[in-house]
Amino acid sequence: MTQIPADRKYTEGHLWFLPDEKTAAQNLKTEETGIVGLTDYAQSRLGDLIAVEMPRAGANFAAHDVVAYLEGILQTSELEAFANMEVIEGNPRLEIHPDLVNREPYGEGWVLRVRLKGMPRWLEAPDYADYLEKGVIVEGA
Amino acid sequence: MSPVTSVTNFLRKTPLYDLHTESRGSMVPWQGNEVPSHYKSILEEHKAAVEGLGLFDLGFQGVVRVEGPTAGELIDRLSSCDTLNIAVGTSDLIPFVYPDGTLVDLVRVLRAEEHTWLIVLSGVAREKALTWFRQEAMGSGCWLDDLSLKYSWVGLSGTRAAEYLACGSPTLKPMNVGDVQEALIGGVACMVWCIEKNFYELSCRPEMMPKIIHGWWVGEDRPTLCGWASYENWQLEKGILRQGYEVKEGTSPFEVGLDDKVDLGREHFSGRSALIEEEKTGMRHILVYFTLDALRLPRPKAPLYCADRMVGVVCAGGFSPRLQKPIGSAWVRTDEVDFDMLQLEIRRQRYDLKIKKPPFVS
Repeated sequence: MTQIPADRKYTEGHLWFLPDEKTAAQNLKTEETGIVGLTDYAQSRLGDLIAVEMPRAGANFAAHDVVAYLEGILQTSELEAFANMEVIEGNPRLEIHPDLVNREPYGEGWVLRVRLKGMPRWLEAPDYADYLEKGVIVEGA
Repeated sequence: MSPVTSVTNFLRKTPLYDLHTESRGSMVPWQGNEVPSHYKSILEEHKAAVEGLGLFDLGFQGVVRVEGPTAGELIDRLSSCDTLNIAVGTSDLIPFVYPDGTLVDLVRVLRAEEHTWLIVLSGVAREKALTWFRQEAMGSGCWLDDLSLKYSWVGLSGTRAAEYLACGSPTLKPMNVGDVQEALIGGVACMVWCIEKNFYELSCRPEMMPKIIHGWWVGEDRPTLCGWASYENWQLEKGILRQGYEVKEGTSPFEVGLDDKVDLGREHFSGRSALIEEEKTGMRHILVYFTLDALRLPRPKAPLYCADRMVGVVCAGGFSPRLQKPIGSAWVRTDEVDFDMLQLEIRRQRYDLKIKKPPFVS
């Protein structure tokens, strides 16, 4: 069973967002800052990562823009912006150790720190678990 | 990226399916089977299969028995190289060729007895090759028996493979490349094929394969389970030609560097006239292998350029754990191409590549 920590929000694109202010986790606002990473499910589908192509700090992206590329042995994944956002920084450790995404997807393997400029459609951990199991989002779950 | 759903309902399960799921393999469809792409790290699995001991589930392979006094002649007629000199109890890799000189497949054949041959077919081209072979065998006086469901296969790879096999079967004699022996492993009768140095294939009845695995593995000494992703990466690193990647519809043996497997001095074999013609006129494309210094993985169909001209496409890409570099294979045009100037385009950026003759790592 893939891990899904309850302390963060998830997206249909198999990303997670953990706000810097932990108290805000249940009620996120626009302009929230936090870190973004791949879920355990997503990293396992890419295979071992050999490189992460990051955007420059300060770059702005609209929802659905490609923000970063994750070069995995099985496939290259485009990390899409799940809302309008500004990139504050990429995880500097991934330049030398991209495999942190595989080894610690919810910890040291985070990919970007961003400032949200819009509100995406979040999934709570149990909803994301349902989504993984059924392949669809259950409305109101 | 979306979750894998019911597509797996239509897939075959290999005899080691339970072992894969118990070992938390990442199960995905591959060559018509539901098999693990990997367990934890693909590169660690690959490394184990080279430097230690790795086990691949090759349950996707098929095998056909050809019997009869003319079986040897039939196989020889369909191959571009001499097969009649294959000794009883040994195997070889031979190209089966269509009359137009293109490859049906590169297959391993074993001369089990004087007039009995086994042909091992790869998963991707299995059905097509079998249909073709049946047609060619009609009226030849040979019997053809598809034993694919009666045999299951695993591959044992790495520097410890021979030693591990010897522990499992003390009666097993030392083997050279091409040798095939019957042996009892874990108390189960099976055939052991020495495919190349440090790589063996084991075949036995499907229901007995889990027994071999469980009866044979002891403690921490067991092989590392390796999924198909590390198998493909390992094959690419060794320069093993693969159906569906380097070998495709319309590929000739010359184009993929099988010159030593084409004997035009022989008469009456399938595709001879076309191959003689190709030898005269030259090839339009050739297969090359390359390394890349940039940390970008070459994906199938990615374009290759020489200056501003697109001159080829990638067949397959991977990553060599030993070289710590991306590696790949590609089809490249032969006309006016400077092979020292080739570049690969990935996401609109060009990267220099270096042509290298496989194996990438000896």
